[in-house]
Amino acid sequence: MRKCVLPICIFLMFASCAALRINQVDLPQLARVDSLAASNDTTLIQMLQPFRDSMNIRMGIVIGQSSQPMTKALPEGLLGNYCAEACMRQVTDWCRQNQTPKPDFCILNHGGLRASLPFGDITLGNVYELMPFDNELVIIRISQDDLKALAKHTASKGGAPVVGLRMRIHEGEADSIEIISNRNSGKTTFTMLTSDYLANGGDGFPIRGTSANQTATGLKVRDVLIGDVHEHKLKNDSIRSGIDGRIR
Amino acid sequence: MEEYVELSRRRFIRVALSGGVAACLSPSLLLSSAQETRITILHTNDTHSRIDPFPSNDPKYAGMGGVARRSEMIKMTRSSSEHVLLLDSGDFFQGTPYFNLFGGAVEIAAMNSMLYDASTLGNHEFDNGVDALAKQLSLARFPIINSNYKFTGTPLESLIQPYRIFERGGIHIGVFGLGIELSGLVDPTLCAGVEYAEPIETAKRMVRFLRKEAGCQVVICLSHLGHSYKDHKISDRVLAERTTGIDLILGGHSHTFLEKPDCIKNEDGDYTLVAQAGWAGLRLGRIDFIISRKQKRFTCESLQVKKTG
Repeated sequence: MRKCVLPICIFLMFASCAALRINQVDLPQLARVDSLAASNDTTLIQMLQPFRDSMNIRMGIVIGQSSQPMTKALPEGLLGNYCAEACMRQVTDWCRQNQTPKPDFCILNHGGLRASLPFGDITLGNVYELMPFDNELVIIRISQDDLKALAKHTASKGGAPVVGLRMRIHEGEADSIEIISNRNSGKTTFTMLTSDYLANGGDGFPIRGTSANQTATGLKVRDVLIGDVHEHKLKNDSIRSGIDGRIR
Repeated sequence: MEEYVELSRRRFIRVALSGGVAACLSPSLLLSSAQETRITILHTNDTHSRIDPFPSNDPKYAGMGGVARRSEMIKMTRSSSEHVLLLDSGDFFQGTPYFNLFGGAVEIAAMNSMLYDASTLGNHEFDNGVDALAKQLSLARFPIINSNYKFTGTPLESLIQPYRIFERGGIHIGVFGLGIELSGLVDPTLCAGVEYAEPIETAKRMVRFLRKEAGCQVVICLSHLGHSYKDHKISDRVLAERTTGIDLILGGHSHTFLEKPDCIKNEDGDYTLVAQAGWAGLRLGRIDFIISRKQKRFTCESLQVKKTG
């Protein structure tokens, strides 16, 4: 038990009431009052029931299965890796249909992954909670300088959900970054798949999408994830993820 | 339970004119030094549309949270404590399909039902744009307080107040609100017309007003700035260090689980408490101020919103 009892300032005893400030701090050990938490306010439950029923009907649909629980983590995590890979898979299909070269890599916003995915059945609601925002996927052409700025930014954030690139972080600084598709080609410009939230400068992202460098796919991140989970189900498969040291 | 009172500006001036004496003559402050008034502050932040408990298969928070349990905990506190203030530090919107499907109406209805005394704005309140936010906030039966955004010419102008003064047990409690810089966080089209002002200067101005002119004995800041950052970005901890006269900063945005409030020495060598209750309604923070003629001290608890057994 940490206790910081500070001496009462004597002058405060004579000071005017209006100037009364905290002059004694007594932090008791955390008291957990679980018995308080035992029951529900049934009136509130009943009041919200029509909304709950409507939501459960629309969001309780099982769209597929996951072979493992997925939570987010830095520098890389199961959930982030899965989301980046799912976006890459679905956008690769979109690119094929639209005669556009597929992007070299994908980077998403760690902070934008808002809930974990459970093992087993995945409902539509699970994906809405994971990605509640209406962010859309964009493809941005970037230079080598942009890539360096991206590495610096990602290092400062401690990692990110990515696929198609590998990087090393050392004490908050980017040690190295490599685009996997570029291993034997020596390109100096790359294409990056990301969300319009990041491309508009969200979370301090260093690369801005403009009319000159950006292709909008019109695909919502959430719809892409829903599609990916469902496609696995149609193939009697479940989604999976792994950690492979892509960022460390 | 007393209703909050909003003092008119005229009354502030009267109090100010008669000097600090007026504040000292209010009944509670004629207490003998042994008499104490206990003000119980209950607080949440970043509840993020988490109306129902987390599902039983959630990897991290299975079965925890939910407004029905929180509501019961609040009711029990109100039945055992005479002077309670229930406050929220923003981001009550976005995070479950309730928000996607109903646009915030369910969250506001639940907060109305729990009799929240006030909330401030988080960045996610803007996720459906200013017009949609105004529509939802018009349904709130509690004040939305923000002191550092300007809403001039937007539909939010008449819906957000820079401060509110509550009276509990004869103690005047001034509450103001600070929001995070929206640029780089919220799509510019969704917060069009909302201007951000620097929080520290705003806080100093609000404290001066609430203490000196309005005669508040307790000043609370509802903050959505975030608990702390690695760099020098303004946060609750920085705010506490660089101001004076704020008793308590109830924070949000960073989803920080604090087992007990940080106790930070402020510019005058007094103490400002910085509290935050995680997110998703997993916790209900509780801080009690015990105020007597001689001193103001507090105790705190962080209550887990979970089922037993």
